[in-house]
Amino acid sequence: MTIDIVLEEPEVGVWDADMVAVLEDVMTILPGGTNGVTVRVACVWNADKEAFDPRWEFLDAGGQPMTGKAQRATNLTGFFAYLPLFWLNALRDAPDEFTPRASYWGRLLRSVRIPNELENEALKTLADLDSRLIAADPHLAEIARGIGQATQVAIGEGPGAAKFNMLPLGIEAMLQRTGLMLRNENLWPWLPLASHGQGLQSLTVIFLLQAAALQQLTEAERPGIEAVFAIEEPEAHLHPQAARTLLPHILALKGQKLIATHSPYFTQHVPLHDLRLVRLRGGSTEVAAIPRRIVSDLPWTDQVASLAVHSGAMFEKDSVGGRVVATFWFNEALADRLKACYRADPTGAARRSAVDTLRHSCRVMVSPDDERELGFHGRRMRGEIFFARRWILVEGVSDYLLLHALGQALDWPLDAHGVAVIDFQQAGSPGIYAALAEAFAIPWNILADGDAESTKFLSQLRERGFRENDLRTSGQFVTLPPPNNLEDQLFADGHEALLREVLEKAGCGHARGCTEADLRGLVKNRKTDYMGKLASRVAGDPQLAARMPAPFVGLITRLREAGHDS
Amino acid sequence: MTPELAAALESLSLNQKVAVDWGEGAAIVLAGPGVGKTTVLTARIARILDSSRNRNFRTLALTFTTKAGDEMRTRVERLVPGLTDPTLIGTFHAFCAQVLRQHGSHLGIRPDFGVYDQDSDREELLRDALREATAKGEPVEERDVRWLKAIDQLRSNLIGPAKAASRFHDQSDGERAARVYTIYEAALRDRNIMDFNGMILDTCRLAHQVPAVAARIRQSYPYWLIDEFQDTSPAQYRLVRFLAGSDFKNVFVVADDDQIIYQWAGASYRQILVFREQFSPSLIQLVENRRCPPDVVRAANSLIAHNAERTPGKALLLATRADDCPAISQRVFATDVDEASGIAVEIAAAGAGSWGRTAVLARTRAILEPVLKALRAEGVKAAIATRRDRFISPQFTWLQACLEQALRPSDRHVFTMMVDAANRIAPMECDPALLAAEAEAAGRSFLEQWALAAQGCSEPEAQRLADFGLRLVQSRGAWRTVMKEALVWLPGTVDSSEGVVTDAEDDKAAWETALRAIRAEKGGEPELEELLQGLALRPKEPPPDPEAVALLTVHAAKGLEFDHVYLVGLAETVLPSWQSLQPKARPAELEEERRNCFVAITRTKECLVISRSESYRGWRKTASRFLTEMGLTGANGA
Repeated sequence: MTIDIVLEEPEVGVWDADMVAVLEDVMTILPGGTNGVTVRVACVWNADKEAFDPRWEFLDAGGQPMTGKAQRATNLTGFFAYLPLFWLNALRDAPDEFTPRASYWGRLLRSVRIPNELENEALKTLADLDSRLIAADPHLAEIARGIGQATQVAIGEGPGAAKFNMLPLGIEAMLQRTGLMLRNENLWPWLPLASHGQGLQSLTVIFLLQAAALQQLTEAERPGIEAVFAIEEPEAHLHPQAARTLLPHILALKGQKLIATHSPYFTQHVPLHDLRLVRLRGGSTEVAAIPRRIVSDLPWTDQVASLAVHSGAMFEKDSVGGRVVATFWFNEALADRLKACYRADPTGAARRSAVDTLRHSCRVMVSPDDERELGFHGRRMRGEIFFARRWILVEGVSDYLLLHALGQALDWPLDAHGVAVIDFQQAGSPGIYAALAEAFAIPWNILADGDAESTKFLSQLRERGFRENDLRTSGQFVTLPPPNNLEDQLFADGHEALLREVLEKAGCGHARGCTEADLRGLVKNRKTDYMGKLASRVAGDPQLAARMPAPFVGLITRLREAGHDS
Repeated sequence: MTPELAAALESLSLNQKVAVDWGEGAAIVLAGPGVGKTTVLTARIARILDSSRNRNFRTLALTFTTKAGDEMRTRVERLVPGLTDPTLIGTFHAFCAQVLRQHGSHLGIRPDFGVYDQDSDREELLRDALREATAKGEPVEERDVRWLKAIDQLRSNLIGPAKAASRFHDQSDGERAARVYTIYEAALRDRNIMDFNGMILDTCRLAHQVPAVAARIRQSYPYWLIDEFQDTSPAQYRLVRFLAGSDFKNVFVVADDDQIIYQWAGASYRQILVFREQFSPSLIQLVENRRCPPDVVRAANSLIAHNAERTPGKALLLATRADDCPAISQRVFATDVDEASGIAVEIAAAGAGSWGRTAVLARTRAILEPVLKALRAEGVKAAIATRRDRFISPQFTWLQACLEQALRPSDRHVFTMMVDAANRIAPMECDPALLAAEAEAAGRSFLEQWALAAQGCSEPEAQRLADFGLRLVQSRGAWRTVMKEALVWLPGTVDSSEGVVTDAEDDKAAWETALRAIRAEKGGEPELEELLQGLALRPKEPPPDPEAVALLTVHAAKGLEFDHVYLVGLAETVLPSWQSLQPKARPAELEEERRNCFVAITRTKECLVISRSESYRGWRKTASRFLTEMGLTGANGA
């Protein structure tokens, strides 16, 4: 496993000079003149020793390992002094974390300062109390006398003596006994941490981490320090609501946060750009994210600069190579205006094709409008989709139900194969989901009706920069035969009798005898009802399943035959 | 403050203290011989380190030789133990190597570059590159390698290939040289090799192309110290200017315009003038000579007053030692043979106990050689100090080349050197060209192919060498143990008679000295590429024998001191040299000769014997004019 930790100065001269001097030997200069540090930490399996060999090296601006003074271990210590790491693993046991030997709690306890006066007073009071308690039962004094003889026997000189002590004798001993008491409601009793539920315990540890980090950073008093928090599964033991509200607390930690989570609830409110999808594919770990900026091969010109002014923050100049950078996806019209900027360029044709390439690469980017659409009326997008291995985008709930039923019937249950079916009309548009899927390298398909809507979807995708080759040619965009919607197709496939039957079961008594036109009206108005019944029939009847609309059956069959990852 | 530093500061003279306490702004310290300039430099670095314990900036100290740098580091460490980490003390080349390792990627230099310190290696590299270029149809030929000297000259003047052509009188020559220059630079980059001129040139380029590099150096190293400033070359000075930019002034230089003896290498009084013009430094003069007897100080002052290229207002050296007995005596001999034997007899009579503290100095090596012979004839341990820029035994030539191969397996030139050296250690007859061809056919590295061949030889030495090679092939990380074992084993492969020090033993001592210095410079164990870069940058002569009389040219004696100094050959056309006396010679040449004499006599701690003969190699020579200038005529010693 190899991890590159990359730190870059945001602007020339921002980093503290003293910090730069400490890290001088490992600090590079980036093409824009800013400072940077890259450390590569690797853990490699050593077959001879049968163990993992941890290794680290600082890299120069060209990505080569630095030699000489940069290789001294003191650089690593210096580096992490400015980048302290606070780490919480998933298997945390709150009572253990609050013992004096635990690293964060122990450090906090050691930082406590009690004024001498108060310390002396407390010790005197305790000593008084201690002797009164011991004296309360004469039996104790007798036992002490008996034990005292032991020292006489062992050493053989002097009288020898023993006495008991009940209360702590020093301030350190007292501090070490410091325990945490919590109560949930005002009227409830104060209870030690261990007597509370696992959820509260787990949460307490996260806040302990915050307190310890604050304490350590205040003590260090050196400018330039920025903490990194690595928290594994902050949601552990928490109910969905608590998991959802945890995010703002973690975001409030000052420093960079690296959070590993398996919780759709926690994920749901994370800004899309902050998500990193980590997965194992073909034996190696892959990390995918939505790019914030894409650097093109196009030179920045005055014309581009004035276009940039008129098109929001869409285009920027790359400070390193002076190239055009795109920050969101952009449509054909804007692409044409960008191309027009190179009209006088002798290599105009190449520039125009570079604009097309840029637009195509940018289709995976997310604009503020996209984020707003996904977040409209609260976050309607479900966090769980990021844990899926494939997305099938459909228009509505009935498609959703039918697909799951087909999976069941054709012996390829969608959940078991990590397929998420997303009914996008309830939560956004197909363009955004296709973009997210591409950005996160999640394989995806769209299954749409054959009516005018599908043309709209297709043009939405094209508007975003998808090409014909990404859609129809590759079989990712499939529709029912035009102009049919799902219900039309069921009629066309000869399922009229079946529909009458399931509707009747769904509580529509008159479905069996009504006209075909009325029946069409019924299925249209009671989609979920009829499909609920139909789906459960299909799920248990492979032969019936095989007669469902061909694009649906075909998709599941194809996926089943290819294995889900193809 | 450490007691060592407190004691050192306590013992400073008033002027020394001013220099040590110097804060911000440029300063030039004019320091005559024996006035404790190294004391001032080390105390100043130590003071800065000590007073900035809670700060993290670093201090940059540039020296003229690696030896001076190594010594300075040791002395600073003694004053403020454990605080030397935030310093960069070393030569211009070591400093440039560090900058290029760290930031060279902007010029396409990888941090593990190798250093070619031999002209023959560079010629070979250029010849290879020319051959390749010819094959590609470029209008060059192999014998264009003759342009390398001119290219070096251009590089030492910081002129890149683009501007090279205009420097030639003949346009077609210029174009040709520029073409070869371009090929040479591309070959260096391609093979990840640096040469000495290139280190300064590339660091200047870096400062120019990536101004942030210079800005960072100014920020992280707010204090710069330069030792022996009078000896810096114009390119080195321009590097300082580039890095300092227009506003940075914290440059503290120590110089003596009376000790410039490297004019031929570009050192010049003008450097000091230019520095004064561009940095407007304050002037501090150190004049209290703590080394020489008052007689010598008087002679030195009187001699050097005849020079004109000196800083205006330069103060006289001040003797501080007791004026108890005459310290200078003169000898005059009939012939150079008599001079050599007369001096040898005198030294022999002084007894073995004094030999290690005695030096014989002369303007040239030729004058020293008969003295060496005569000393040996008298049974006196003596050696002419020489600077070696390469190992001389096949044993250590092999070890260096073998380690280079482990790092740069495709370097054919180093491979040839390694195979030839191995052939001489163990009687083998491996043909490097054949082995290289075989290696390419079999898909093996050169080193592996050779090791396999050597393994097949019956000689035990060959097998041991092969074993070292194979271990390096298997894992480059094995180099430390290979080097450790080889250092012990290699000197034993030479037959030697009792009492004679072999070349391999000399080389081993030199290797170990260099290794210690490289460790100290890094503050830890070096990696393979650092060892090799460090070896390339360091001299390869063994440390001097502490019990032998040192025979030195004046240049080699610079910076050293001895109880007893014999300065031989004080005759016209010897010192001063023949060239400097020619009617066409510039006055500066005679001034440099005078400075040679000045440097020579001021090496003396106890007594100075000045000798001349009335003829050298059969030619009659009159007494050197410097004798009169020193005020010594008439005082004719026995």
